[in-house]
Amino acid sequence: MPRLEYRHHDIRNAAILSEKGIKLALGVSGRDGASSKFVALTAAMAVANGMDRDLALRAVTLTPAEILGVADRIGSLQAGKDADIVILSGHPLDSLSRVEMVLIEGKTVFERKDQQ
Amino acid sequence: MKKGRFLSFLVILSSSFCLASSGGESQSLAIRAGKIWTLTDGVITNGVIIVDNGKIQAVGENIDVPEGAKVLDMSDKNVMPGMIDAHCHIGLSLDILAEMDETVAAVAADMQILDAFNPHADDVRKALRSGVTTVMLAPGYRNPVGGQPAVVKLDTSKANDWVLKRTAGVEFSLMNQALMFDREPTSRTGLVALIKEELDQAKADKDGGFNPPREVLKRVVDANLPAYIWAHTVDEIASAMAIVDEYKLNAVLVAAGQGDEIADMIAKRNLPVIYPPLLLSSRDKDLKRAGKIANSGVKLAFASLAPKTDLYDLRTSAILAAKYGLDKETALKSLTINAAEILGVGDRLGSISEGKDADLVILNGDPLQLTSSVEMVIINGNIVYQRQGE
Repeated sequence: MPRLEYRHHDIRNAAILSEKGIKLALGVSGRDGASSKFVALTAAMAVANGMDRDLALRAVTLTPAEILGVADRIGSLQAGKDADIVILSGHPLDSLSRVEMVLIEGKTVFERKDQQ
Repeated sequence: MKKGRFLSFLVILSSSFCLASSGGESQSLAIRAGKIWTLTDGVITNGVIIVDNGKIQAVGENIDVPEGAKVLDMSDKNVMPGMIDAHCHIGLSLDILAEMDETVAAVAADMQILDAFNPHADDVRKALRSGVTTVMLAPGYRNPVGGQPAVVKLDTSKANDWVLKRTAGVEFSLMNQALMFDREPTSRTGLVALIKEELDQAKADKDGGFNPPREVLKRVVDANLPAYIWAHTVDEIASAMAIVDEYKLNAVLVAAGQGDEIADMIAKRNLPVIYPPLLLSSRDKDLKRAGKIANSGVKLAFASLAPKTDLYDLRTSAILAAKYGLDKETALKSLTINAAEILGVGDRLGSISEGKDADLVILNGDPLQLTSSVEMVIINGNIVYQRQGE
């Protein structure tokens, strides 16, 4: 059942807000423990519903870092920042891309086993 | 002079009549498309689809546009067949899911879900917006022997009858939700026994008498009406297969989420599976199941079970399944031709090929990308949805 608070939820909201110049981060903080592993897919959905591609990607990286006050350390690949890096099999917004490797502060914390 | 004017008025009048007759339903439509996902005949690049009288008249690369045809230029778009939601509860104005099941009765095979359907409901628009053109409207899973699902087109043009099948089968449920405190059955064993008893009585009942549910069940035991059996867990699916074997039913497994664990047994019986929605909240293990089932040779279709899912989008299920191991082509077929065949409407729907209904979805990118959005939906050759803005 749709929860009451979703009754008027419009999937174009992200696009509408970002078009007005509002700083916007995307998340998956849903019910049933919706997993943050799909945060890139929410960016893809935002694009499908009118959000600019670059802004959508920024909304899952640099923008949340700025909102949380940690943009000096994370959120973009830039000299001097923490080496928190994701390596994907394709474009980050490609729904079928898989995460191949994740580095945090330069150390490998995830490596995909079933390479296909 | 007066006479001359009158004559020319007549000429204008008659020519406008001619226009009206050629501009009505019989005007053909030509869609130029960047990519056509035919689903039965591969992908055609820079092709044309000719639609006449609501049917696809031709599709291919080098096709002449008939004179007087209305041309839709979609040369930078993707066109695919209208998607088919193999089980959902939309248009039933369900706020508390109250109208789906007759929970006081255990046997409700004579109930027709179509009697509760409103084709102009909000969620019907939502389904259209996501590219779904045909749905199997279904009762829920709380009746051991449930009502009759229907196959309907979401044609809001008001030009055609939207009902493809009023009685598309009979629903059965082996799920725990079919057990109630205040009516029998109250146990899993009792549930299976009750279903068998009903089927036995339908089989034994030759002359009938006045028993509407039994009349319907007779057609199920004669295998000329499919049994749609809700069974989610491995044990529920095993029970379903035992019943199918014993009564030689023509059956489809509904919401068989754990079917991968006994996929070979399902494949051996040639039972199609209607797969429940994959969501962003699904676990990795569950996301891989649809692919495993299909890889075992089981024919698969997706179901939104809407309005239980928050944001209606059938395509997301197929994309997530593809991301987790379902072959891309099979993923698309599960949304279209395979679903059509499972629901018994494969002769009319599910692919872009000559003679089929002109139910088409136009997207601004690859159908298996979440970044792609549905820009236009056509049913029976009529534009029933067009995306605003851009």
